Formats: sequence, C-alpha cells, structure tokens
Amino acid sequence: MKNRIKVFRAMNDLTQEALASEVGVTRQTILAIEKGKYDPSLDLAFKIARRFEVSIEEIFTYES
Amino acid sequence: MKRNTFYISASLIGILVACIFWWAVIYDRYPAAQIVTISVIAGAAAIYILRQKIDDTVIVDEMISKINEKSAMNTLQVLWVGFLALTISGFTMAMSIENPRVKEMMMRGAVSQFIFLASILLIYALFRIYYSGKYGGYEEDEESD
Repeated sequence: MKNRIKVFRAMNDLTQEALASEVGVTRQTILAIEKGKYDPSLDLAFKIARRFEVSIEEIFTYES
Repeated sequence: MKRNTFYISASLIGILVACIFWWAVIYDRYPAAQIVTISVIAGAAAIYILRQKIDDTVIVDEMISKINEKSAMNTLQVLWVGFLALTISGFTMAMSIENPRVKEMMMRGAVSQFIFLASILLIYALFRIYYSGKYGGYEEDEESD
C-alpha cells in the first residue's frame, strides 16, 4: 500500500510527532507507515484522513 | 528514555534477578530465600518505574501491539518446539538408564514436562476460543449452513 502522508504533512506543516499525537499513536508508527513498512488499520487510516480533511483514497493507494 | 533502552534495561534487570535466584539455590540457607523475594519485588518495581519514563506519550498503539503479538507467538513456538525436543531426549535417556530409581525419577521429570507442554496447548486453545468468540468468529448469518 502506497501513501502520501509525508506530502500531506508538509502541506499542513505537521511533524511526525504532532501527527502521531493527534491520531493517538507513536511517532514510530507514523514513520513505519510513511516508509511503507506497516499498513495501518482501517480505524487509523480514517483518523489520518480525517486529520487532513480528505478521503482515505487521497492518502492511501492500494497496490496488489 | 527510548523504548528500546527500556527493553534492554528490563532484560538486564531480569538477568540480574535470575542470577540472584541462581545464587540463592546454591547458597541454600538464611537469608537466601528472603533476598530472592526482595530482589523479585525490587526488580518488578524497577521495571514499572522505568516503563513510566518512556518518552512516548502513547505507550501501546496498534503497531506495537502487532509487534508484541508476533514476537509472543514466535517465542511460544520456538520455546514449545525446544521444550518438546528436551522432553523427548529426556524420555530417550530415561529408557536407556538401568538404575530403576534414577530411571523412575527421569521418567517422572519427562512426564511432567510433557504435561506442561500439553497444558500450554490447552491454554492456547482456550484463548483462541475466547478471542474467536470476542471478535465474532462464531457469528452466523444467512450464508451459514
């Protein structure tokens, strides 16, 4: 799964630590998601999308 | 304190407590038992205090839970297989011993280990049933038979 969290963070001038704190996870989790090492749960994906006020599809792209 | 520093510190405390326990078994007189009791309590307290000092505001999240879950499962598998190998070698050794008293002792030890291994499987099965129920693994709908 690809994602554009880094892009949205830059657009919103948000650090990994700040985003992690707002969605209730550790910074390591945000880092792992950004690097594509960890796929977030649906719950966390929704939280991240809501934080940036966009749909999930705009942030996450599924690749089979 | 970083999370990995905490894990390393906790492991060192665990090793220290195990060493004290080992010393107490060898020393085998007053106040060995009391020192072991105090060291176990002190070790648990130290780990608890260290845990509070982890920098992350969120101590457990979904990725950490997944890492813990995978680590626990692999540890269980490795330990179970390793312990089974030990049990089987215990049985084999017991069979080849001629002294009936030693043979009986070794057989009892091996049987105890085998019961312990079976208990682990039973506990695992019970937890699986519990969590399957909790997460809807036994739910039925119109597509069920």
